Amino acid sequence: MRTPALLLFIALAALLSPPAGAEDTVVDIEAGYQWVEVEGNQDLYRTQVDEADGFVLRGFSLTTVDSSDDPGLFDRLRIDASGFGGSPSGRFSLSSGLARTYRLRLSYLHLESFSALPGFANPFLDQGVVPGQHTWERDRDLVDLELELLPGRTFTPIVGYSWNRYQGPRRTTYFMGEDEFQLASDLDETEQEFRAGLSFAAGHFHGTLIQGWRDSESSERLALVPGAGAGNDPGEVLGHEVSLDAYSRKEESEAETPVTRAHVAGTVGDSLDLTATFVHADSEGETRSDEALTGSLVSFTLSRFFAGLDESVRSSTENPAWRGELTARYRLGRTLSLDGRFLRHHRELEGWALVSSLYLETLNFSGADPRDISRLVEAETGYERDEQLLDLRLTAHDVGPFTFWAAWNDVDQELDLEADVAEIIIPGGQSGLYERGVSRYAFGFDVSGDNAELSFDWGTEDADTAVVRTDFLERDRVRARFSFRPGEAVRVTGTAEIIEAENGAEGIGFSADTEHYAVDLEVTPVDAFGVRVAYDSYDTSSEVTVRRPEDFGLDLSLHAERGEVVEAGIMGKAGSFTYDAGYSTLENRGSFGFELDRIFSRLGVDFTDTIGASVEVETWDYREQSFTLADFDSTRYGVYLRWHR
Amino acid sequence: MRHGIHWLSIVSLAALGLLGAGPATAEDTDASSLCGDCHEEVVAAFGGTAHGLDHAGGPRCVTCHTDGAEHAGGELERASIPAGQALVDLCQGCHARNLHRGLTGVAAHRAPAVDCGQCHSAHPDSPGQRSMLRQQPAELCASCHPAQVRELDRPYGHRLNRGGIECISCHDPHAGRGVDSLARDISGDVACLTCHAEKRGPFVYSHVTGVTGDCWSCHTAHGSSNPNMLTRSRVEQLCLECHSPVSGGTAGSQPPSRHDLRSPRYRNCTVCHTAVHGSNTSPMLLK
Repeated sequence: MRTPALLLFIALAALLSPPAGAEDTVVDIEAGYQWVEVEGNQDLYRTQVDEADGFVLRGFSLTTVDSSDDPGLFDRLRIDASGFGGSPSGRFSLSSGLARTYRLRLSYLHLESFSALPGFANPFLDQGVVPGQHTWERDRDLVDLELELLPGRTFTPIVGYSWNRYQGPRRTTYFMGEDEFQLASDLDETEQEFRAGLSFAAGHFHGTLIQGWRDSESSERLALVPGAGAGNDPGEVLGHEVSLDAYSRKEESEAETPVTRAHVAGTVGDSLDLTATFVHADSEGETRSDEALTGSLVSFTLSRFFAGLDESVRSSTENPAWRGELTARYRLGRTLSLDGRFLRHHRELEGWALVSSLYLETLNFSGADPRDISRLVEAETGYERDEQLLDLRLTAHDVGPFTFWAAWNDVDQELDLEADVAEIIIPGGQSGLYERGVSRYAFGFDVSGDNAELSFDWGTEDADTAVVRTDFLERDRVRARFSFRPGEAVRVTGTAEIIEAENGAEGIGFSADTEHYAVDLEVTPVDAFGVRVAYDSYDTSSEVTVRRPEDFGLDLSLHAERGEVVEAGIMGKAGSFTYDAGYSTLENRGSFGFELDRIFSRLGVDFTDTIGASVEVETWDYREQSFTLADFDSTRYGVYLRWHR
Repeated sequence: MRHGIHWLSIVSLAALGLLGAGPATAEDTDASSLCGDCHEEVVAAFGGTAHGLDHAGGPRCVTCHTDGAEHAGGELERASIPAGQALVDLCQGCHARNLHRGLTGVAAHRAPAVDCGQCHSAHPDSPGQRSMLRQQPAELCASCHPAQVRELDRPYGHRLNRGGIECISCHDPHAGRGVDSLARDISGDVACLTCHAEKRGPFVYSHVTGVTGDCWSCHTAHGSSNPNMLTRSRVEQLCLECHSPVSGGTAGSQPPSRHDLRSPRYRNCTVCHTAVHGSNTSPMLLK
């Protein structure tokens, strides 16, 4: 897939290149070949990095500007592309326009996603079986096109189109008959969106009204992985060996969503700015799923053994949602301003499913009463979620070198989850009305001098209750950011942030603390040489009381990240040579300890004003503290040619 | 009835806009026409920018350098270069239609700490520079948010500049703080679903997204030490933190007792509950 994508890009770029003679055209292309060596866990390398041997387009950029009176089809065109070939992702974008006539934006992304993890969600990790049973190798392609006609005029028609396709194989697991079985899946999913609307600019007001139509289609086929019929658990259930001989499932889903978006912004008088936004989307979806399996299985729901199942599911959903927002800024004289925002968000869902299951050749747990059993379940689900936010901020500008601000906001949330008697099989917490209110007070200041800037903000939030157990009742946050230039050649920037959240309610005992400090130093003694050093420390930990399912005893869920990052890099130019090198090391001593070292170096040389070459070396060294099977070292070498005009 | 209310709202918004409607006025170009006599290179380069190309109605020199006429007439030594809130007001005079919130007080980036000129330049180095930005988006963001950009370098994450992923793929720099900083698509959904459309639903049996929380209830988007970018390193830990109604009053059911966490197979909830983002066929999110 990677090389054809590169060839496709080159053909497209050639087609779109401007005619000879176009004014102010700048073209820059860098492409070459890369080699990759990996030692250690190849799967994890592909999951994290996934560069491959082969030709690769490092970068392509074309800019043409035609300021003449008769520019033809466009007076500006910009094309950018990168990554096609040996890289797991490629990007192409085109932007062109003709003043007061049109603006066109087109982008295409190709992303390859691979995952084969040794330790994550792997029930056989203790037995040394890697990777786990959940792996995938899928591609995602995204196209986005938008055309504005008559930009800058009173009315500007807008049309757009988006296309998003996700496809490819994966391995997954399936729980059936009191065991799990590994399945192979092939997915093909496409979402398209057409949109059309109008933008207007009239007097002191501007606005946009867009109507979109989104259409999603998904098709997935699943089958038993050869040799996986014994399941994950080799033991017997009630003296009955559980196995699967054959399995197939085909699931097809469709969803249609008309979307309306309106936005108006403007000024009333000299002192009041207003913006209003309204979005409405109304999704309707349908799914058809057909499943057939044979084997030797157990159902506790039926209290029977069975030898086969034919199941069909028909389901539908309705999911209307809307979101309205109004913001206002009122200027009180030269130094004070008052900003306000009101937002209301509503979302609801009604779901319906009819599950028809035919269990074949069943026997009761005594081995008697052979027969086929049909089971029909009609289920209805639903929820409504409302959220309302009011946000006010008072700002005092230009109080000497300071700007001070103070803010208050109030959030009201309401969630109504409907119970469905037909499907409630796990007790507790699945239905009911949940309401939560959160108030936030904050203040801060910005101060700037000739060579330094400092921003500080503090905020505290109080909630009256929690909807889920990881919701806070109190949260405080303090943050400072500074930038200091002691001289033309030196710049120091830093961030410090502390966040503390907690819910001390009995039986929850939730707390989450974060401390994050970062400082960067850049030294650029001359234009052609620069050094950068950075240090970053983050320390987060959270805990919450949980109940162990096996004995209903209470336990503490703890998670910590204690990381340190050190980075250093140089870049510069000497004659016709350019160089760029960097080193970074990241160590996390938290719940999931690991170290990751990266080195990057690049040397380029310009043979002439238009032709150059570069060599690049990049290494990754990844080590996990408790699971050395995951470790890998990789080195990528690249040789590239560059042409510039 | 519900649709009627929505359309009424839209019509009201449109009417609000039309109330302020008036004929578009062209900027006086006489003063600007003098600038090229002394600033030939600057004016020539400006002609190649997005601003400069819109000669029929785009900004001229004195649109931003408001005292340019006085400077040209010798009354001022230098024409002013607007900054801070004055620059924001100036830019929004034309660009309000692109800025849903602009750099007002409810925006994360607001003057004087951040004004338009810190990211955009009316005189960029390259005429085709996207959105007249001073640098590439990631470099711009990193200059003030180095720690956040560094998070993307963790073992698992959205790799910056790979496949076109940039900070502005997910964040709207003109929007608010925290969650409000996320870009939203045409339907108001967060930017996550622009790429991960298969998780958009709607699902008959929804899980977290859109019901009690959102993507970041379970995932850390920038970068993670967890392969699935979860907020916890172990799956069962993440699930049980909500699915333990110890004292009641919160949403989240209790797994039945046969989920014996002493056995590795039950420590990996997603081995069986594979459809954690939502299912159209299984209430327990098994498929």
